[in-house]
Amino acid sequence: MASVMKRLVNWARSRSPWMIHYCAACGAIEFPMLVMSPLDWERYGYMPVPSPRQADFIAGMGYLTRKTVKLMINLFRQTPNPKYVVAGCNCTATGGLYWDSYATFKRLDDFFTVSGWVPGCMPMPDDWTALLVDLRRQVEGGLKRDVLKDFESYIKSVEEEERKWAKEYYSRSQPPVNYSFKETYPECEENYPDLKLCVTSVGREKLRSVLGELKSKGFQLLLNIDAVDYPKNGVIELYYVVENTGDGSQMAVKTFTPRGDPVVESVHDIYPNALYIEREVYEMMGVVFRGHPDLRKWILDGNWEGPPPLRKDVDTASYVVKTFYKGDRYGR
Amino acid sequence: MAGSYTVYFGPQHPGAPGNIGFKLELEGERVVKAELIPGFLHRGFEKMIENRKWENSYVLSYRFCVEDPDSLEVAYAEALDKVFRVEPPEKARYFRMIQAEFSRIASHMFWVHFMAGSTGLRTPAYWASAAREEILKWFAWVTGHRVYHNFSVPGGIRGEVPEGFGERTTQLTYLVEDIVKDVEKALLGNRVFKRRTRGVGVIKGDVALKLGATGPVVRGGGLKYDTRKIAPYERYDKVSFEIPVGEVGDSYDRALVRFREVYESLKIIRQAVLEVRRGEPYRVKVPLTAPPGRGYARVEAARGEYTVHVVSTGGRSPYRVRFKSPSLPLLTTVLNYILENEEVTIADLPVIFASLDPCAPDIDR
Repeated sequence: MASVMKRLVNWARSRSPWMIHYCAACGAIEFPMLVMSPLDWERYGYMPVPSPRQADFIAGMGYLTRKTVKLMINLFRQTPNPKYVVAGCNCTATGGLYWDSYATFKRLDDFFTVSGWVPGCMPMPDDWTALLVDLRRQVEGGLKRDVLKDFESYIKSVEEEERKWAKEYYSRSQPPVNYSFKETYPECEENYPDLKLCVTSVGREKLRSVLGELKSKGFQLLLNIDAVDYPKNGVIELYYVVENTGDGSQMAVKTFTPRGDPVVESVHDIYPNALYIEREVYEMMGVVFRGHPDLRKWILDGNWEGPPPLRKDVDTASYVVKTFYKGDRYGR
Repeated sequence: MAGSYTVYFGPQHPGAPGNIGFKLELEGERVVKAELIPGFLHRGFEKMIENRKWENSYVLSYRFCVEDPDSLEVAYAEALDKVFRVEPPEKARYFRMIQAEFSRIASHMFWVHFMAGSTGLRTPAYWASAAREEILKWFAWVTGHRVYHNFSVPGGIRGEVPEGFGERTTQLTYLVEDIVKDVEKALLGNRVFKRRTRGVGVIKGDVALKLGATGPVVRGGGLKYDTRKIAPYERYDKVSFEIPVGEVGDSYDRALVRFREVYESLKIIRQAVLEVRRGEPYRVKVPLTAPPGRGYARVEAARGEYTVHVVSTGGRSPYRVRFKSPSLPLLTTVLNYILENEEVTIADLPVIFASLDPCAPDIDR
């Protein structure tokens, strides 16, 4: 009788696999198509549920940034038993295309036991459907619930190593400045007429006044701040790309800052969106913007503890191979 | 009045615009301030692309906006054309336009999910997914992939277009137009939708531009501003199309502009298809090593102006690549401008998110 009851429960459970509505990565792009016609997953009893408390399984949909993995662990803990983990796309299995990314973990089964895998980048909808059918079959056959593995020491050791690296990086002395620079503003240094782009250069102490002047001339839209690192010359070049909202012409104001003392005046009071772009340049390149009210880790917060990753002398690829693939690049 | 308090919204929330979080400051039900919490999708593209060879690098160049990858792909291919100093054949130029416009339509159709979902409508989303599915099938037929296509490469396009390309593409545009008309009627004509979006999230075009926004948000605010017109790339100067604009700049206008844009895109595709003929050259060879120099491209993606800046110092890999994300100002400066200037409740917040249509991975990269 008990075994019949158990089989009945398993059968019922397999007929309503509900997934946490968490679009963790690019694999989620196929899900609206899967749930709706013509594939219509609802005929399998599938439903995306907003709350983990009603869910049966959680799916890793593509690359696992460290911040996302921490959140997924949190969600998994809130899900009632029995709960399952499935892994979609190549990135959850091997690191995939982003094998050398410093901000992702490479395997989902470092953190959970995993009940189903989907290959491909992007997986075709039929692959996802095969997964769902397989999961249903497994659950009906009495699939054991997935559990968390010992992940805390792993995450901690990775972050500890990065902090050590950052400390060592900042204690290193910077190369001397060996860089030729000629101020050309208001003339163009390089001109691209087909793009309506003009590259001009100013010293960093004059940057604020020049950008203020350009704004009053009609260059009201700050598109981006591009930073290019030249360790050989000992400088970081900065390009402030502004756009004239009248005729659509662009001006890239080039300036530079020595790597030993990477300080530039903030322009967030001239261009409001500079507040966020500057913050990004700060964490990625280590350029300090004087006068910025809230300079802190933002995108990299929870993802990376090491030195500014976009600097040219920070070799993240070999660090990743050493840390996540145990030194074997083709072991992935 | 109830006291003020702080609430975390997203990333695991159906109303959140993708995998991205917010720290909301509330006064009663009113949202006073929203602070963006990004980083859940950060992979470090700009670093990874420096480790790749030129011919491998463009596989990475478009993966940070999964909804609209082709505009990004076209931009990177264009920037590399300039680095390698090659001039792609005419056919490739026109094909890239078709690709980018189909991607824009697919992206706008995906946006209907967010917009309709946040206003409680399901049917338009189902129909829009049918239109998107047709476009993805077309992409699978031409390029071999559904979502990421990797078809625009430096020097042209990756391969010859298949047999019967012109007829099937033109047919598809009419099929998509029929579906989109239905979706528009069902969504914009709906009374609930009008009540939820009229006067919600008002921002004028010139204000939005000053805050760093571009794209449908600016055009919805009544400003004719489009990179395809002001600085035509590829062959946008050879085709005729209009720039649709809204009046008030509320969520409804932005939705309207997106639908109008779809029709204009279809118009562009129908004109460009005539120039893509089988048998003509589609690609010029590019060398393995690039000369030192700079490549720069600006395109109008589905969410606004998108730029790529490639620095080459010679050799087999890019020295530095920098992307400009059109979504970053939408969720920071524009959102906070809206919150400051009108009374937004929690229930209206997903509507505003959806009408701004940010692409979350595009902010993190």
